[in-house]
Parts: sequence; structure tokens; C-alpha cells
Amino acid sequence: MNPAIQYFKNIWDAIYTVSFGMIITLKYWVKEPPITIEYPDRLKKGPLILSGNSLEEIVSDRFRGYLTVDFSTCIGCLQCMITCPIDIIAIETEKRDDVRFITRFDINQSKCMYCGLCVEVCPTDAIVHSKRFEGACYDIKELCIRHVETAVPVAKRPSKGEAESA
Amino acid sequence: MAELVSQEMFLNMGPHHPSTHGVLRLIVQTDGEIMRRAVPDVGYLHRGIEKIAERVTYQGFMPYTDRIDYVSAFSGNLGYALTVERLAGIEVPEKAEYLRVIAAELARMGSHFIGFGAVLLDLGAVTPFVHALRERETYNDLMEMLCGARLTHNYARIGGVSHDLPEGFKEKTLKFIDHLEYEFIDEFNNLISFNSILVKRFANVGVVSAEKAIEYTLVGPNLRGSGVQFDLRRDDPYSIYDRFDFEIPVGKGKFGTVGDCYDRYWIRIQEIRESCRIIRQALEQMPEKGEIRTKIPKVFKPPKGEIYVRTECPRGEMGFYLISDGGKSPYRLKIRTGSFSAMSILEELSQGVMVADLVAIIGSFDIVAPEIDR
Ligand code: SF4
Ligand code: SF4
Repeated sequence: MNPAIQYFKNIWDAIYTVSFGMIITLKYWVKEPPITIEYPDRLKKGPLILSGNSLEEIVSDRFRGYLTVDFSTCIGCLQCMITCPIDIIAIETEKRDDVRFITRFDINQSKCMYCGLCVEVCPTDAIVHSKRFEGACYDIKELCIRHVETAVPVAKRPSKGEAESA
Repeated sequence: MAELVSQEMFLNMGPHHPSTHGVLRLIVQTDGEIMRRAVPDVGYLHRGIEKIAERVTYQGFMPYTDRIDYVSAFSGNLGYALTVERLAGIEVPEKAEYLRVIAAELARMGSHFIGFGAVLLDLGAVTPFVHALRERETYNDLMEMLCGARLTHNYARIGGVSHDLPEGFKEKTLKFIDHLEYEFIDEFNNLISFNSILVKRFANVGVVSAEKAIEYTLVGPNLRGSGVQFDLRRDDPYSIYDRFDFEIPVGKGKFGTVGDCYDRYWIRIQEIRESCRIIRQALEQMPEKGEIRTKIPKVFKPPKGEIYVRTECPRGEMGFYLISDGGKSPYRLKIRTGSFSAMSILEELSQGVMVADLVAIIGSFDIVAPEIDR
């Protein structure tokens, strides 16, 4: 092909194909509603309007957030501590007058990788993920959460039938 | 008058360079704008994952496989789970197999969004990256519904998967793949793929012939981009991939030579369509009810032996070589990944290209730095 024709054809090609892209960009600019939200200030105004006031509503039901422990069902079996691949759960139990007490239940949330393995092995579903995900704080030590302040007695081990139905 | 001498110069590209997709260092020898050589220096992201495997239990290693290739975390999960299952002879329930295929194909799409989005960003086109990321966001939401995490899913388990399908997942996924197949891909192609500026940057750049691709052990989309039709999902089927009907796109030199950057880019766009097809079939065929997990003992000890299992990940073949001495944790686990294979050819490809083309070449191989090092 004649070099001059080629030269102008190249320019035409570029303009032609770029304008295709520009039409799409224009469409998104003018027609489509914005899908991004400015976190956290605009959450309440954006497309994700929360019904209550808690941020936790924007995550799904199975969301793996901070770990919480329910001491009315925890039997102190230490399964979660053994299973955790990075050893961030520390539990200590103590026997006082034939009753076992949990004296320490620390979870270091700053190291936790939210894998969910501890939740899976817990026989009584005492340790679960909450939906909390905002964890910024000024001191990293605050993220090592002590779930036991004063010693709590362990719960009764559920009988076989109960455990299966649960 | 003394002549001006031109000298070759050694430069560092990376480790902290936006277009090396992570922490990858390239030692670049340039003569002006022309590249003489670029040698990748691997090792800035070494986390010792293989060594960690020797210290944690078989189940406890699963979350670490997320971090081999964090862009498509589930692919690592799947490969590792398959390895241990084959070694120990564990049967996986039917429904779990389907769930795995669905999650794996979603992961493939999610990874390709980042793959072709990021290479365009490297070339200076910011808008398409945002479009790709919008789709990635839906993928993240779907995975969050399915298993609770957005990036490091940890969804597979030895003997099955961790959760069943949540309510509304099927409809949402079908809507998503409809949107991809009928709207997104065509729109994206019009937006950028057929753009003649992009074609000029990509076509005939970084050409890898089929022989060379095999010589350098390229895998996955990079190998198929050179026109070699090889896909483990079809040629060495694992899980239940033999039940689905899908095509394997190969590079045909759409705008230039077979095996150039454009072909590798184009393969990824086409693979999204094929993944959509597989997901659609899997959702149709999947049994409504059924077990999702075979029970394995809490203290799990597979028999003595060794095994190598390879799976087709978004970045190519990921292989796990596992030696067990009958104990609680692996005796040795070696992981082979696709990005590492792509590193070897970089030195040869970079000879004589422009500096800006090197960015296109690295990007077109869809490298994820943590996968190179483990
Ligand atoms: S979620 Fe994983 S890392 Fe965190 S405490 Fe549980 S087992 Fe350990
Ligand atoms: S939280 Fe669950 S696994 Fe952990 S000690 Fe209590 S009962 Fe056992």
C-alpha cells in the first residue's frame, strides 16, 4: 500500500476504535449509576443503604470476622487451640474443688488469618466468627483480646444425642 | 574530535515497581531505550511455605495454600486437597466435586479479570482495569457468600468442601455469568481489546513460538497462547472435569504472529467464556442434596508414600509433590507453579526489545509474584 494512504489509514483506525471505547465510557459516565461508595462516610447514602446502624449488615451471613466465644457452652476441650495452625489461641484451665475453670482465653486477632478451622472443630459451637471486621486501633496489643477476665467454670459436656442434633 | 562513546547500563526494575505485579526484581541491561537483557531475580517474596508444610498438620496447611497464589486462592486449595486425597485414597462426595468445580472456575475468572486488567493498567489504560475490577467485585461477593472470605477463601477441605451452597447463590451466579457472556465481554472488547493503540502495543511483541514455549516449559494460558492445545482439564482430567463440554482456546495470531502478547491476552478473555459454560453446566447437573464432606479423623495420618498431582490453575499448571512418612504432617511438599515457569523465558524474550515492551511482556504472562517464590 502507498505509505501515505497507510499513514492516514492508521490515524483513521485509531480514531475509529478509540471512539468506540469513548462511547462506552460516556455511557457509564452519563447513564449508569455509580457503583462505588466512599467508605465509611457515604455508606448511608450510597446504593447500600443500611436498615439499622451497624456496618456489619454489608457483609454476608457466613462472613469470617472477629472470633467470639460463648462461655455458656464452651467445655474447655482445647480443640480450637490445638487446631489453630499458627497457635494464636491460648487457653488455660484450672481445677478448683472438682470444677474446671477457664482462667485464660486469649485470641490474638492481629495474627489470626480468619481461616475458620477452629470454628469447625469446636464440638459445641462455642467459638464462632462474628461479623465484625473493623479492627483498626492505636496499639497492636489491644488486638490480643482476653475473653476471660475472672475465671469462668466450663460448661457441661453435651451428651451424645444432643451433640448430634446440634 | 573525540567520539561519543555509548555505554550499556545496568538498571534495577523493581523490586518495588508497579508493573512487576508484586515484589519481583529485574536486572535490566539497556543500551539507550533498547533492552539488551533482563534477568529476573527471584526471591523477594520467599515465605517458606514448603517448609511450613512440614511443621503443621495436613488439615492445617490448607489456609497456607490460599497464599501461594492469592489472586485465585481456591485453585491452590483444590490442588492440595486433591493431592492428599489421592495419597490417602479418600473419596469425595459427588456434590462436593461440583461445588469444587464451580468455585475453581469462578476463581479462574476472578484471576483473569485481574490478569488482563492489570496488564492494561501497566500499559497506561486505567479505565478498562476499573471495568475488570467491577466484575472481580461481584466474584468476591459470590465467594464471600459461599465461604465467608473475600480473598483467602480456604474453601476446600481434605475430603470435600467446607460449606454447602448458600441460599440465593445459584441465581446470583447465573445472573453474573449471563452478564459476563452477553454484556461484559463484548463491551470490554469494544472498549479496549480491538483498540488499535492496544493492538499496536501487543501484536508482534514478545513472540514465543510453539517449540520455544515447550522448551521453556511454559504452562497454562501462556502455552496455549503459542498455539499448543494443552489443558489439564481435558488432557489429564482431575475432579469431574471430564463431564463438561468446553473448548480450549488457543492462540491463532489474531492481529499478528501466533504467540505474541496479544494472543496471550486474548486467550484469557476467551477463557472467561469457557468458564461460564462450565459453571452453567455444573449448576445444572449438580445434585440438589447430598454430602459435601467425607469425614476424616481429627488426627489424620495418610499412609506412607509419595505422589505428584497437577491441576490447571489460572496461571497454568500447579503441581504438588508430596512425600508422606506416615506422620501427622508432610515429610516434604514441593509446589510447582505456573508463574515460575514463565520467568525462565523472560531473559531470552527481552533481548532487543524496547523498555516499554518489557512491561507488556511481563504483564502478558500474568505473573503473580508470590506464586513465583512461595
Ligand atoms: S480462624 Fe484460623 S488462625 Fe484464627 S484462631 Fe481460628 S484457626 Fe487460628
Ligand atoms: S471454644 Fe470450643 S473448641 Fe475451644 S475449648 Fe471451648 S468448646 Fe473446645
